[in-house]
Amino acid sequence: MGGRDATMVLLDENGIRCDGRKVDEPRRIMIKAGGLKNADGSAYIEFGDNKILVGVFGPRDVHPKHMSNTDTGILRVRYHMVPFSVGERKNPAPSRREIEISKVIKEALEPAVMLDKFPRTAVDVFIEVLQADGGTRCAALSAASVALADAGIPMRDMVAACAAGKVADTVVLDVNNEEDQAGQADMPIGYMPNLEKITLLQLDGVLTSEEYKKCVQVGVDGCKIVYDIQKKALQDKYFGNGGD
Amino acid sequence: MDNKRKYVIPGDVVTTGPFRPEQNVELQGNKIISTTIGISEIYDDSVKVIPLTGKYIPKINDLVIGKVISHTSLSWELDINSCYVGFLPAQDVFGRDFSAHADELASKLKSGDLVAARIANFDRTRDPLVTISDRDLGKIDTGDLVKISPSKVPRLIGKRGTMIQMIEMATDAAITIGQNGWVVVSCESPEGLLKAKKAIEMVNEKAHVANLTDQVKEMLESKGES
Amino acid sequence: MGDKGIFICTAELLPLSHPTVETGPPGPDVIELARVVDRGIRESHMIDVSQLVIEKNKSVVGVFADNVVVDYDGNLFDACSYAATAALLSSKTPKWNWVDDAPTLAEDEETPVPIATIPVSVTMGKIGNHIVVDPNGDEWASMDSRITITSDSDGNICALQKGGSDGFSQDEINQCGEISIRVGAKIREKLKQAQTVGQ
Repeated sequence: MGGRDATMVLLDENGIRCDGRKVDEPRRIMIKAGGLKNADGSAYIEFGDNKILVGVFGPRDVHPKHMSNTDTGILRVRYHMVPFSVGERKNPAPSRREIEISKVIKEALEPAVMLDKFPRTAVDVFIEVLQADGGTRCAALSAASVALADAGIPMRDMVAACAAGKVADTVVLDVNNEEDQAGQADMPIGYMPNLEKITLLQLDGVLTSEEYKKCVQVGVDGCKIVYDIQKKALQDKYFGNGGD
Repeated sequence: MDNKRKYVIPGDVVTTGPFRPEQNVELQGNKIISTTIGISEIYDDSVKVIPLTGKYIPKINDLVIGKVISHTSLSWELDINSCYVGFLPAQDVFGRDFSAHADELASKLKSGDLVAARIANFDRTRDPLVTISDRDLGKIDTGDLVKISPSKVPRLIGKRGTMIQMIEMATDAAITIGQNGWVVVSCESPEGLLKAKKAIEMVNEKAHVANLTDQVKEMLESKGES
Repeated sequence: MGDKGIFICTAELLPLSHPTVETGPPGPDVIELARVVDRGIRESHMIDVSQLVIEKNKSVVGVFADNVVVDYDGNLFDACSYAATAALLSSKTPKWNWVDDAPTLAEDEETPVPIATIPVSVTMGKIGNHIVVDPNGDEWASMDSRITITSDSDGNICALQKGGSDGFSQDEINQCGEISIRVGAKIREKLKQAQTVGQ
């Protein structure tokens, strides 16, 4: 990494970033609801060069049985990167990083899903990162939320996600892989746009108190952009022709 | 589409008025929000969302089509396309003097058999209890199984049964619709069978389209190899 | 990559720390704990890893901070983080020299771990509409969600992790940021005592 920092301009004098974006501009985002035949719900997202597929099963019987809860259904999330998702082949066995991300995504979705109506069942969310380019957890969370809605799992709200960060002493939206490696801070945010609640929040990197607040604001604004795209994906599938 | 009905996704505000929240909506502060993808409907004093996706949730008295998964010496388990399996006790078939020693369950229903059943009891603490001891219920011997989304069942039946009657009349098929989205179609003529199945699949895919009845009618009346 | 030393922080729950802890590979909770504690110290740049180089591109020193939890009463994030930080502040590493193309231990010489800042994590739990700092075992079991924010000696925020099955409003997030800096400053004074012990 050390050598690359010097040659790459993260932010030029006109406020244009290394991939040509403005500071408050997300990468190209495309979401498609549905697509998998066997899953109860599914979604595919392209978030810049990230390509992620999510399948949802359930509510269904819980295996192993001892995990089931007589008061409520349970949510289980597996975030997984396929071996060819990154430049150097990734060992397909789940890493500690993937286990942690699975947990934060699960906890970001839990405030939205209403599983008390399905005691003794489980909803399984399987996230497969097919191609990774920085910001996979946000892209994965956004797609997972669409897949859950597609499966008809009752939800209080959608969860949209986008990262904010600090690059070349400037707060920017949607940090890409280069900016994450060479930048100063990365703050992934998951947000329920109607309930105005932050359900995923992490930060690596140093921010002043003012920059911290600004990052949260920029990230939340980014989530609202992602939310509109999620909405459109569901509308396209369900209200496609004859819809308003 | 009048302004009372809206396409909604989870989190969308259906209304803020003083209405009673019913199916698939939740009261949050002074807003009533949708909890699923569907079409919202506001009545005189209540609000609900008719879902366009989702698994079948058993309701007492629903007619369902079930498939026998397995049995013990006392009961059968039925796949009813839900998050819970249907529980069919042996007494329901053999009567009160059922004896676990003398009566062999497999002699009446085997794994893989289809049955028309009714949900007799369901309270979420236990798997739904089903019965097949009533008129029109019991083992299904002939017909093709078509699987549709349980949320599209009301559309397949249509207002006062208009849609399903139209399909049956046009094809001479006998159609049994389970509320769980499983539909059994039987018909003497192979063309009628194919057409009826095609019509059912059309409803499944285009349930939200406004002039669906006309489209299905057109398809049924068309002469063709399809 | 040969111009920086290595720093790794781990955390482990021993079976004697709580009746529900089982032996075997760590579950998601423990993995998250270890990674959050590691990230707080790493991202603050507490240790100046550029000073841990014996010979550029050839040999570097590794510093490990291993937490083992022996008795549990909630908020392991802060407990492990303070323990690791205090240990680093009071530690001395053996001194290595580059002699005849190989790292060689200098007898009876020790150097302190190169410290650039003192990170302090502050974990807050949300119970209903209340935010509590440092949730104990009972509070931990009953809270809806939590947030761990690490700040450095300059009052900057350098790592954060939200957890638990509820969310926070944007105002709460901002409020928690302020609390973490304020409370963190007090705890940092305590941690500095460890530094004096080490010297």
